[in-house]
Amino acid sequence: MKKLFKISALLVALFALIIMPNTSVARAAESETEKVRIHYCRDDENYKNWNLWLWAYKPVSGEGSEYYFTGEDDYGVYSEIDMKNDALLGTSTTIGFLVKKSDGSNKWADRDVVEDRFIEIPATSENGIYNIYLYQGFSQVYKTADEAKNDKIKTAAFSNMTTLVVDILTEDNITSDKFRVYADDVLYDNYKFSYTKNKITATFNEEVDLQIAYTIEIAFTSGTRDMSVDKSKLYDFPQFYENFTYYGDDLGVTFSNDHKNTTFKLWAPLATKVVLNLYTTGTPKEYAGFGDAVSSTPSHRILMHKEQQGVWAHTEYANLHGVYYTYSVYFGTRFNEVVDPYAKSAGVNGERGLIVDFDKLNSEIGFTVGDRPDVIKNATDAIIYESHVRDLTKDVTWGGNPEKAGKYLGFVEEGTTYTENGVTVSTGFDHLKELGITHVQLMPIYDVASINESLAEPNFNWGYDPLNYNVLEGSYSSNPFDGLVRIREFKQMVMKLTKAGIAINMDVVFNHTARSSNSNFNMIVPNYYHRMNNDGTYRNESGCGNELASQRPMVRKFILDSTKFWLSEYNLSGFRFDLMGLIDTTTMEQVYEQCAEVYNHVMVYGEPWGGYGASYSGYRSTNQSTLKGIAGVGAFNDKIRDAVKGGNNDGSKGFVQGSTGSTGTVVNGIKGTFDGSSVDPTRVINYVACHDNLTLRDKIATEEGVTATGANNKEATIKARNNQSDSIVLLSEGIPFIQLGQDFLRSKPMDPNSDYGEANRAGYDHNSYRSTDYTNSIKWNLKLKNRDVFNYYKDLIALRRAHAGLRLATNSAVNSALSIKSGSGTTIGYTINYGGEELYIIHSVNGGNYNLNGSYRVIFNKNGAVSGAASTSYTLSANESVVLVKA
Amino acid sequence: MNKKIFCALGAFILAASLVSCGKGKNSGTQPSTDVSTSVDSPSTNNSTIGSEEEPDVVIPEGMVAVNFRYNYGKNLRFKIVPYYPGDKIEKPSLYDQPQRTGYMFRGWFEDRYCMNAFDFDNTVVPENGLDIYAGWNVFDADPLGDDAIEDLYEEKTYSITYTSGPGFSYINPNGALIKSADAGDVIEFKLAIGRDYEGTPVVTANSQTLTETQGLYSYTVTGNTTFAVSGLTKVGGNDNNDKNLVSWYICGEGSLWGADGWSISGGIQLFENPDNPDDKGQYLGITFAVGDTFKVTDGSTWFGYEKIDTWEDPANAGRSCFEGSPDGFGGQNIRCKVAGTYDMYVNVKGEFWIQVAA
Repeated sequence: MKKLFKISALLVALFALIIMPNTSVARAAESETEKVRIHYCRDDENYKNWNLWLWAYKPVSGEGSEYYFTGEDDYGVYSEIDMKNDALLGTSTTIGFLVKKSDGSNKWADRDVVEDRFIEIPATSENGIYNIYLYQGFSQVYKTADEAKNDKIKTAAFSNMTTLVVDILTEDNITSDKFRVYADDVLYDNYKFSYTKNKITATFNEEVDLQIAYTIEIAFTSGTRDMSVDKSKLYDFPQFYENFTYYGDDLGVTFSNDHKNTTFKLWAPLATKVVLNLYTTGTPKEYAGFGDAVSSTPSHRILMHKEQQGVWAHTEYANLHGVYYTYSVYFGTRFNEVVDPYAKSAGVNGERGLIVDFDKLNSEIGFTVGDRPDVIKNATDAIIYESHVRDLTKDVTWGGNPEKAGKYLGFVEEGTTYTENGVTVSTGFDHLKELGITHVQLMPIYDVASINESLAEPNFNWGYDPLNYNVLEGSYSSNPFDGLVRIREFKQMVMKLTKAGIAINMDVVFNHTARSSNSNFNMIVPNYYHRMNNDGTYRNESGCGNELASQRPMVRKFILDSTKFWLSEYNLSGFRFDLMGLIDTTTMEQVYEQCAEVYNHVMVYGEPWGGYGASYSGYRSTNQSTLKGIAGVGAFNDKIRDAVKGGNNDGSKGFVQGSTGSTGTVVNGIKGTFDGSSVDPTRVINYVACHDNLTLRDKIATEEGVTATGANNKEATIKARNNQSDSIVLLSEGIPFIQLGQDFLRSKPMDPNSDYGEANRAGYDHNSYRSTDYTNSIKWNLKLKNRDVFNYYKDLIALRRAHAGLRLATNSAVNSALSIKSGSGTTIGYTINYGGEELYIIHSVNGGNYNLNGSYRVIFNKNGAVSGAASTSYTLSANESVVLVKA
Repeated sequence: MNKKIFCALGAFILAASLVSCGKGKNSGTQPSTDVSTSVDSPSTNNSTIGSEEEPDVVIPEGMVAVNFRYNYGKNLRFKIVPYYPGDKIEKPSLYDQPQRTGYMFRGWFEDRYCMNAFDFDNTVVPENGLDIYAGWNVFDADPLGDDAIEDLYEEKTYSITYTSGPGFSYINPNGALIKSADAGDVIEFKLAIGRDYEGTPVVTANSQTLTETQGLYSYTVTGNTTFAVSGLTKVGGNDNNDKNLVSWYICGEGSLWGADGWSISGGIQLFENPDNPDDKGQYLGITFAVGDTFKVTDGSTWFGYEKIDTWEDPANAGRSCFEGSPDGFGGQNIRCKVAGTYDMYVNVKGEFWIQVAA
């Protein structure tokens, strides 16, 4: 019994030791974090109008809002967030923040530290309150007030190949004995030291070795601080270019010829270490409950090895198809876990990259690389129809399988119709086939940052917000948690479009990234991939937060590699470049050249604007003017756009509304030029409306005073002007472009139940990038209601395809064939003599009799395709366009 | 001590330790697992248990090895069991499991990445034997800490060095470049050559020239080896994108500039003139509109109209297409009077040569 008692006592003692290890140490109670306190200190102690912009970042990103400093303490001021009750932030594990200043109605008069910063909220904290400390001008987020207020290093960077500049904040007088430089952790002293108030300059006696990681250390009175030295100002020096430009086509994940080995390569020239993390699923723990198996930790973490020119590599002797991965990129002791920019697929919300063996996947689904529809000989043979995957099928009037509505598979579902009062029209895919277009231009289908794929009903977004450039968007697939599903389904979509003879141009957004400082690019090579101002802020000509520095070799390489991948692997036929003016001409020309090597009829074109214009900050912008100096790349013709219908969102008039000031510009566009002489018509995209701004119908309605909610007593006029606008487009040289639904008077009214959208004075949404389906989705009852308009477009497209003279490929051919008979005022008439026939085309705004000076018979008029008797004159109605052929 | 009580005590302690091991996953400061933040990694601690050595097992003739691997670190074998091909494999007992510091054993898998659990009921031993892999769940180890990192690099007898240079990269068609090899190993690679480079590459291994077959170079290792490439030259680019930036800017007002036109950050940065690197800089292809006004500066020194080159050469558009203007920042600005696209050169003395762009 005694023995048992002793043993029991021993057990109790052991239990106490194991179960309650901390009871002998006095410490503040840790409890579940219920509040986050953000402290802020300014040197001048003037906090007037300073506030915070906070947003939910993880597990689900959300909109931001202003938060105010409501408390004061010895440190400065603070803002307290009640994590239990805050509607915006309460469920977040990471929140993003900016410190800003408001000035009257200008809520963004100033920022203290321009880049986004983040607070990862621990599950527990002292007394349940998580404190972080911010100091004016310093980007670091400090954990204690002492740390934040004490002597500190602001920046340490090389300003050129021999000069290291360190900005500090201290009352100490820093002498050379208090300052140390380390090169790969070895003390380095080959420099001259100088100090002026708060600035140390170390002038090296030899050039910086770009392969070495430098750190500095300063012995302040209050303690020693250290920092890694930033080399980002050296990126444009020839030494960097020569040492760190990689030419291989194997960045990302590749397989050996026999597909037994998987190789990973990442370009990270300034990293001190790179680790490959392999995961069995693409779903991080934050998504527990949303779907599929959750894995919070990697199954393997493998050290990669420096190979050459800044590239880190590792080969696994296995085929890792289906395994997810990320990289941990180290800079000294700090690291970022990132998705590979070259990842070819990903799990939910692009959180982890996915390894894909495309050969394996393609053979499973019967997809043949290279099997694309060859529907054009020249770009002018194309008829481009801008479409959004979700818009085409999201509305109930589409009539297809609801589970596929808004998805890749819905885009190609056959047999869908809408019927009303015994009349039936085709919808969706069948509509595309019926219309007769040659190319769909798909609005962003790469992985978009602002669409939350984990929701059962993801939010809408156009998608000009690239997260992972080489990954398909998951919300358009049936299972965004499995990165293979989106590939299979999109390839099935491609196969069906190919079979229908419809080619695919992809909208690409290489002018900016969704995230700036926390983009995967920036976390791998800080400040390389974006254009930066001298003060360390991001240049932002895109208006979306940053610009990609396309002129830098490895950024250019990324754009080239990405476009080649999409074109080749998915059998695409071209690219539309968003804000192409922000991309340099060399890159654009090389994109065209490379793509043309893959597919000789590729179309590469874009918006020739963005940025200040021709020459700015180290690159030559690609615009209508500089296009002349490069081969192959086309551009949208905004001149004919505005000349035909007036300004984009207002009530201003163009040719079809009777303005005579722009007739000459319309004539230039009819000749397939921007301004009368320029590049060949194969590089001029003529259009009158696209996803941006009002739809064509809404613009015309606005000018006529017809509002979104008011009565429409101008239906006939709206139809006639709509039809004439696109008659001009489709009967011009150059490449015609139409927006989805324009062929049956698509309208985008504001959603009365949503805060999103931007209304013009008539109540139409002119910037529906995140508006609801109410505004954006195609309403197929409109096609039924306006089937006369649809039939008109169908006939117009058929006519264009039937007459080669409307699709001439060179300026010289146009100059030989096309003759302007009347090109001023409110009537434009011209002949096209080509291929043994002569067409006479007339666009009349006011109507009236037109003398043809010859005998012609009409083949197309306001009723569509017709067949008329020969005549030497023709009487047009108001806003009528006609096509006659010489008798 | 009574054996039963001892065992009970041991079991109790084990159970208690599994429940009570102090730090939950979210306690204290912990590196982030997401992609949003930059964090400190904990200090290196390479101590592990179990994976330091392999059992010494002899495989009898006619039998093959079934290897139960640790599947971390150097992926050594925890158990090696001889079987005849065709045999079913006995599942190791619960008491015969590998251990790993900070991790819990979660079972045996067909593959190293734990995608498929090993089917002991239906799998038979193949002719060559097979490997079975341990799977692990993190327990109290730091999943993103240094302990979890595997260094699978295999050091061999000789080092292989690839001398890099501008314009090309070495590519191993079968994986990462081989940096270490034994005598007799064959190293193969191709060259990826930049678009801006031309010429026939000369590839050497320890100064011995290699020939290529369908783009592939091949070399049999006999000792430490250094590969090098020569014979490539850069094709001249004629636009600004191929040149190095200098610290001089064109700043001004008019069609090219925004609100901060007169500040350096609002200006157009010049490039080095490759023909005369001592020059202040150049910019090709600037489109000026009539009335655009500018000067050139590095932030402290400003060059204006007084620096327009007076050389009477027809190509010099400086005096004919531009004029002096007292307006704007600091006076003596250069104002465009003939709109057009121009190439501008600023020589070492700050003198401007402006010509109509080609």
